[in-house]
Amino acid sequence: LTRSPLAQRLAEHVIRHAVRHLPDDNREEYYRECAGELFAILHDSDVPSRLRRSTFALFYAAGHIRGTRRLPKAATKPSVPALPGGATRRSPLRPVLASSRAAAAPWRPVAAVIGAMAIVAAGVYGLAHVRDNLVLELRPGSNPPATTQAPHDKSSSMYLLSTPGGLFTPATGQAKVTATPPSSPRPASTAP
Amino acid sequence: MKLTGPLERVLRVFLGDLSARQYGYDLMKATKLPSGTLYPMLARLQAEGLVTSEWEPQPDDASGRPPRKYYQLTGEGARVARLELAQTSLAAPPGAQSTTRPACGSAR
Repeated sequence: LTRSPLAQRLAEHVIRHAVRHLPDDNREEYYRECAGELFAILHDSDVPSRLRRSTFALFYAAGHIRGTRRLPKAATKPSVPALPGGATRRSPLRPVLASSRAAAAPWRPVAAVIGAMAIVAAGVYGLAHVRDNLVLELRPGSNPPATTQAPHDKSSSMYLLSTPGGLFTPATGQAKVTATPPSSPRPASTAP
Repeated sequence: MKLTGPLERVLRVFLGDLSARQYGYDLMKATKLPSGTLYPMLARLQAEGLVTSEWEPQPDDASGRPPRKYYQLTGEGARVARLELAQTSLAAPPGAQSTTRPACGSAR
């Protein structure tokens, strides 16, 4: 009794799942091709680590989930019919490239715009928060701009800002001067 | 015409040895493309008649290896690939790098 390795069985299962997107006449051939490649991957002597081979086999199988979704539109029929009279097309590779671009879903531009707007709005909101917090920390007595209600808990604002004159407590807004007497009086300027 | 990087890599591998038949894993290793990119591209090239494929006969070794599907450029495919690659290299500005990264230390 011989059993195929676990990675091979998993990868075959993933490929079997992936080929569901294909037409019936292509499905079995595609699966046979992938099964042949899986064997080559799992027995690749160039990769000494068995773990790496197994991982690569799983990635290989997972890639077919994406690949088979692109496949039916382009592979089942040529995207550009042959021109009558044996005329040559200007560029036979153009439909290959065009079909890959056309495979993208039509709602993607709308989703991209909405996503970009959401990112910009989140950025503006975050910047407003940062500005309000800065205003509260640097000028405790002043009201922050009414853009956001910045949470400024006094109990949590026990940190002290060091200022040149001493310590600055944002809760009171007063500088606690820890005056240290100068060790020696500053010599008067002797410049004429 | 704008030739995408993956397609250019695949065509270059095919043009490297026109008589050689390549199977999918070979091409994946040579082009470093994932399967989700390579196989749809091969299928499209095949649908356009630029690449042909054939199954190898059942191997008679005892390893239990399943047969592989081999791909090869057609004559028309070789002609088109050469033309497109030449146009791409002509259209590139002088001094522009190819899509393939040069080896470390090859450029000073």
